[in-house]
Amino acid sequence: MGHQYQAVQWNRNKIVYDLYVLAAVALFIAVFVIIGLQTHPSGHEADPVVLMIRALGVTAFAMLTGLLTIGPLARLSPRFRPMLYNRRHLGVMTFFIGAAHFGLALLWYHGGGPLNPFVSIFVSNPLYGSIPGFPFEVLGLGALLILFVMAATSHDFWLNNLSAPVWKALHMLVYPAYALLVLHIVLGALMTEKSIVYPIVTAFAFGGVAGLHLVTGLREWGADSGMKGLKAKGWIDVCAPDDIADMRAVIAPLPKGDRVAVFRYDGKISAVTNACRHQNGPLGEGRVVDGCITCPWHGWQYRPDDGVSPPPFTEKISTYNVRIEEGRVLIDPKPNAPGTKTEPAVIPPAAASAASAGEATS
Amino acid sequence: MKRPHRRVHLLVWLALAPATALAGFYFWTQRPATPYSDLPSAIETIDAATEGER
Repeated sequence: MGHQYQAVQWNRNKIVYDLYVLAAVALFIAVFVIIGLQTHPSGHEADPVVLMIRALGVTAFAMLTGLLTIGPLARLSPRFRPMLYNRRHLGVMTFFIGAAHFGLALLWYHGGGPLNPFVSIFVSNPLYGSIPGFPFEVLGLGALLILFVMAATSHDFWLNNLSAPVWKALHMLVYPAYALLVLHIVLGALMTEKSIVYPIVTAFAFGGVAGLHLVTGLREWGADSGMKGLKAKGWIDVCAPDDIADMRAVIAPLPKGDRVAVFRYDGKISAVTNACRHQNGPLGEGRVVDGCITCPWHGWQYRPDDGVSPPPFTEKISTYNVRIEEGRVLIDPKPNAPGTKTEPAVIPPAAASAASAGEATS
Repeated sequence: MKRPHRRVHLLVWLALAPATALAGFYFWTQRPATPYSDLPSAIETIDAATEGER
């Protein structure tokens, strides 16, 4: 959590993860270059530098494709949630691989002329009106600049200073960057390749990423629309106490688009905002660990009754007033200021024992 | 606190996915019949075939 600054947020888990990814990248590039050298068409000289440029480009595109599937996969199944933990490290590495691809291509194709290589990218090929001859490198450079901004602001320092919503909005630029990369490939590599395999792989990658994001986006839209019938005033009927598993939560959408995580723990019920202070992670998909609500994304913790992180941390989230009436959990849709202590609703003994019996037999 | 990017996220993909797919497919259909990478050998073939005519 964000109480101290480190230049790179490494721990043993992240160092091991980074080493595995680097080893996989090195292996992939080596295999790509060796196969390229062995299988080049007879009569043509396979250039190791060109193969390396392509290997780096393919690696960066594959990494970004994988990276963009993590978010929606984690929303579709909890099995993928552990992949969120190291997502930013993977993103920064993807930028560096893409930068290596760009740097090598810049030197190889634009470094030998009289023009500044950065100027040469924009002016050496003036066919901006042509489709087959379009200077596709410009699209790749646009994507790389976006990835640079994201890599440079990936640190929690920027997340805290920009605030989670602004940081999230900024990092959604990765989607246009991915579209630019797809067009960079189509107008570049696919213009010179005769094999049908390459366009199929590219289409499969983009279709998979777009499909996953659309499916999860529509599901979220549906969940938000589920509460449209409720009035903005008055308390909201969430569920019966038995509907909430012990140490877990039910997520209740509110009429204005907020979501509330209603937790059951120690025979009590408390409600907090569903958005974690760190990266807006879904707190209601986490659980109560050591008496604290624990975010499923990166493990940030908050006390259920006041939404304050345990010492030495100081983060605070909004709480909601809760009560139980006629066997139903009701929440006040008006949020309390972050860190406001609330009185947990005590579950009546009948409901509590019924829940315990249900757990014992399950 | 709201997660205000949810709706924007969906709208971005609703716009981006079909636009990129359609543009990508259209651009691909406009690729040259002889890829640039094959031009050297294609020129050699043409030269060899037309050598007697020149």
